[in-house]
Amino acid sequence: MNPDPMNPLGYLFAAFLAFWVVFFIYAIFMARRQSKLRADIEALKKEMDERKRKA
Amino acid sequence: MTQDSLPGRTTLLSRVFLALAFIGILVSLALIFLWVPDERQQGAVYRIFFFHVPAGLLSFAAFAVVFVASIAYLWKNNRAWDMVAHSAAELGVVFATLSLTTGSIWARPIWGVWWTWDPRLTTMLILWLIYVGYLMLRAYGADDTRVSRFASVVGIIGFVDVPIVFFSIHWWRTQHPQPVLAPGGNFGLTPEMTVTFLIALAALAFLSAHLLLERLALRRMSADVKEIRQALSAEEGA
Repeated sequence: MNPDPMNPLGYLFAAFLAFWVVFFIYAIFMARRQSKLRADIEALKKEMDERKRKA
Repeated sequence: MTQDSLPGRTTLLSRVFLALAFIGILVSLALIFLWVPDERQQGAVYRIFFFHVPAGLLSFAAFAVVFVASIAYLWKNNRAWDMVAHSAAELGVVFATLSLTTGSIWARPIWGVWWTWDPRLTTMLILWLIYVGYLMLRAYGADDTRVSRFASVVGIIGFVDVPIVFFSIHWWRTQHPQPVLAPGGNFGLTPEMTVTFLIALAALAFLSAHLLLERLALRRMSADVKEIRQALSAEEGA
């Protein structure tokens, strides 16, 4: 073991920051997919309503 | 399990998991930064391990879910299992990425390098690459039955690497620290460190359970949208 005497706390905070940044990126990725699906569902509902009116 | 038994939107269980994860993460962060003592040789940097090790363990758990769900899909030919496998693989890759990233940041001040071709690190990187490949394969045709079957085979064969990663520190000479909680582990955890580690592990396990349920709900919604679109197109053609 050869601990870096320069700034070990910097590495500690970098690791925790990286950990949560990766999580937030994944959360944003999921939220975007969810909003896209909701938009698709809304479009489909409108299309179905349109068809019912025409029928 | 039927496709209809999968949650279509955020369930109460998923919210309970999120609440437990939130509380657990706050408690574990407080314990990590305010309670546990510094490690004798590594000083404060060793605290990375409180999230690095659970991330690695949870990636193994997620890949185990992929393994079981892929076998069940090939056996029962039920798309619900395929959705479980796909969702778990995504979560496993996220946790494996977290484990590799935090491990690399820990290695720099302790080993003096960001990366070394150590058996544990190399086998973990191979595991990550296998499941990134799995997700790339799924991206080409998430709802194509042939792609699903091929991906299931990759998910089953890829799992072979999990025990290799786990036992690599016993089978080969390695720089990686020995297991922290396994019988005979000599990492030298104090009772405070053990309690903090278990709380962090539980918190991240609740978070992963929440994310898995949410991802499954999205996968189900996506399949429903596709089915409705196909029905509408068929109606239009008739």
